[in-house]
Amino acid sequence: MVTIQKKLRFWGMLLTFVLLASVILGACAQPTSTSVTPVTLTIADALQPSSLDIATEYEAAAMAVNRVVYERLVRYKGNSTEIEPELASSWDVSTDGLTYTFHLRQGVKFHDGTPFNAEAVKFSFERMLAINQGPAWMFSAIDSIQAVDDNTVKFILKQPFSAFLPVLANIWGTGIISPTAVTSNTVNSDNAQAYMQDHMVGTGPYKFVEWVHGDHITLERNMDYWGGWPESADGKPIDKVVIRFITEPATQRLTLEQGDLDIAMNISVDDLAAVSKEAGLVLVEEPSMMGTYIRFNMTKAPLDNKNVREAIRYALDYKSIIDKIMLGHAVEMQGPAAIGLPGHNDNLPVFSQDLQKAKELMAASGVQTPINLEYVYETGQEDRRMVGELLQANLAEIGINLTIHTLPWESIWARVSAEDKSQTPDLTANGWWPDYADVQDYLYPMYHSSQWPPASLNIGFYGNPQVDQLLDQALAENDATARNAMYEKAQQLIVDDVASLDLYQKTMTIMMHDWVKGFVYNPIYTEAFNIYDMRISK
Amino acid sequence: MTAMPVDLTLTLAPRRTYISTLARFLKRSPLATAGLVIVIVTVLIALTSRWIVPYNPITPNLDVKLAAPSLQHLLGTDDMGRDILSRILAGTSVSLSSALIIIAISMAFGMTVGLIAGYSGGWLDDVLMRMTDIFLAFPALILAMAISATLGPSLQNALIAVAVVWWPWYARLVRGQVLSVRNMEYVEAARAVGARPIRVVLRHILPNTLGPLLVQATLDVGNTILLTASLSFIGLGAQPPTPEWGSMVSVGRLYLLSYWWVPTMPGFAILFTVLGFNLLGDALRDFADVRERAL
Repeated sequence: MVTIQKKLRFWGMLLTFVLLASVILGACAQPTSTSVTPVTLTIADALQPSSLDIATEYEAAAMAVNRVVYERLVRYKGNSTEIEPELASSWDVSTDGLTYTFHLRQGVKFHDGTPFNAEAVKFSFERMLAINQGPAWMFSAIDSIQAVDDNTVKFILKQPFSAFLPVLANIWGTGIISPTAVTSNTVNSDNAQAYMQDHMVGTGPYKFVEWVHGDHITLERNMDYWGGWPESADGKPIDKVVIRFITEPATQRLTLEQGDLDIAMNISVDDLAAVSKEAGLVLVEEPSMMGTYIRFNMTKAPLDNKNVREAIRYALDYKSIIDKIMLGHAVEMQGPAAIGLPGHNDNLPVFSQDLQKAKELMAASGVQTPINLEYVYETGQEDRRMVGELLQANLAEIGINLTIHTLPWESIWARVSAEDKSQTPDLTANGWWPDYADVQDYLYPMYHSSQWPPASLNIGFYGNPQVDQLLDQALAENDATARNAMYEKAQQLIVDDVASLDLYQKTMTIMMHDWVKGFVYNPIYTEAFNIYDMRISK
Repeated sequence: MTAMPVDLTLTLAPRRTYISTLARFLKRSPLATAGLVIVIVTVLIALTSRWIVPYNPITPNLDVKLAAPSLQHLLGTDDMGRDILSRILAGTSVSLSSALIIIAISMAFGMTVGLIAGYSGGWLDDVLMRMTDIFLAFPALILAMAISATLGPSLQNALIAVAVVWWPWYARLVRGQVLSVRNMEYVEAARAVGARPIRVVLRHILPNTLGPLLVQATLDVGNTILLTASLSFIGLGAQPPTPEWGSMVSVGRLYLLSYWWVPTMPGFAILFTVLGFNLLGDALRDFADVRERAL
């Protein structure tokens, strides 16, 4: 008994002491705590980038931070694919399409105080090209870069490249980095790659603060931003941005409902209906250019037979995919490139299930049924699993046994890039997000015969000399009308050859609290936010 | 001396049959009875699932996607509109047969290693047991994950992975048993009359290790079901649309907040089955332990 009383007395005293101390300390802290708490925007993203280096980073996960910490010469305007000035105030293109001259904005400073000028632009691009990873392929047309004077920079191209401005407006590889930050952190002439792995020094409206790996990235408002911070009736500008990495959609939903998140990017489509009914939560749903498709391994029997591929095309129940698997949060693709991209062919057929025709095509193919095929999708892409399960049931009707395998992307990549093409799955589901606003970014890497893995993403080993020729010509064509005609022809040929099952473009679905104002969705900057223009009104 | 022999039979309890002993034991231990009932039901379901499923467990029916439990679908439907009850019933044979395969492989291998190590002794024993220790040094799930990730995700590879993780337990158990009977008089006797080692091991030692092995195997059915389900849960086991409980929970967790029955029902199936086998295993261990039974 005595010992218990002693213990109680000890804990009681400790508690009293803690309480007293907190009162005293709280009173002391009173004067300082009157300063305003920062207006914070907390965003949940399922994916975490593997690096923050603007020269190498090429993942959707890095888009949100890159968009506001770095700035590009030009950018996509508002919710469109139109190009507008960012760090360049204007530009001229020579008539032969080989020289792009940019006149730069003046009085801009990097976050570390270094002045922004033409040398910095030249330095950034040359660093990215020298490192030659990730996004560098998009800039292969660049021959040289000249800093004409402090405020003028010239890009000389090897050959005319019609999509050069759209490429410069894209997120990857285009941000201008502080030359001082790079040179002062270069170790063993690594171009500061080790340092820039988890640091960012740009000119944008937000400064990089910290990256707690696996947990969050914090950004803070750049008070010296060249654009200033105009007052808005919408609410207060955002002082602090926290991007939290939350993998599970269910956890994102709970955290959002508790009010610990302002924006959740990955609420499952099956939860959207329930969540958007809740008071104070808003669903922002916008069309996207994110295509999901299935590629046939065209080098291997029986899928080298066009009739078999076409039979599969007609066996699939597209309507159920859109209405019941995606619950209407997607539109069916029309041809191999995303609807909405400049150069998309709007006259292509949109397919629907026709089992009778599928059976006739199977009979016409001369292939003995039943046949066994393998369908592979990336682990975690649950919509592709459901598509596979539906496809399995659909194909059973025409004498095809489909086995489904889920693999991490590295394993899928190993199998599609294997020297021995029989290693490649018969059907591989994949998705593509355009880097820049041009159908070229869909057609060239995925359907040009020079782009078979491991070079790029032509994972079905499609090759049609006529398509190759059209794509090569279009690349060098500066006249938009002529170029689009070539692209439209190429898309028609790809559809005629049955190179893929073009499934759907998911809509972008973002859940946010209604106190978040001013968000404008851009179909190219899919995973990013215009945080500079956004306001919080609580 | 011609003293009358004492009639001992009167003082002894009536002779008990094995069955009646078991019945008495079960009566005293309701948990063991519960375990036995669950196991019998599970095995019956596994054997008859083909005929008793109310709906096709594989074919999607998107019109009734994510339907709540009702009279049509007692446990609701999943994201492809498949009846969850049917999938759980069909999954019983997947889980049970996986467990049996794993235990058969690891028992066969572990028993061989254990017998050789225990009987031969000396450096061979050392080598084999250190090898066993290496496998035991890693947490089971981590090692199984590594192996099945290397082999590539499929149910078959998951089974191999779990078996590779599991055999060392049997090796150690068998070796311990062998050591305890190796120098018994009847083994000594067999050796003395010139029986070859292989005969001594198979005829005289092996049968005496089987009791504890059986208990261990029963306990392991539950554990291996759980481990296989864990591998499937993280995508390294059964591939869709196989109605495997672990992968059903894995897919279902996406729906936990709005459609709780999708992950919960297969979760209960795992819970009850594992519980059943563990209760039965515990009971068998107690039953085999003469000191406790003698009460």
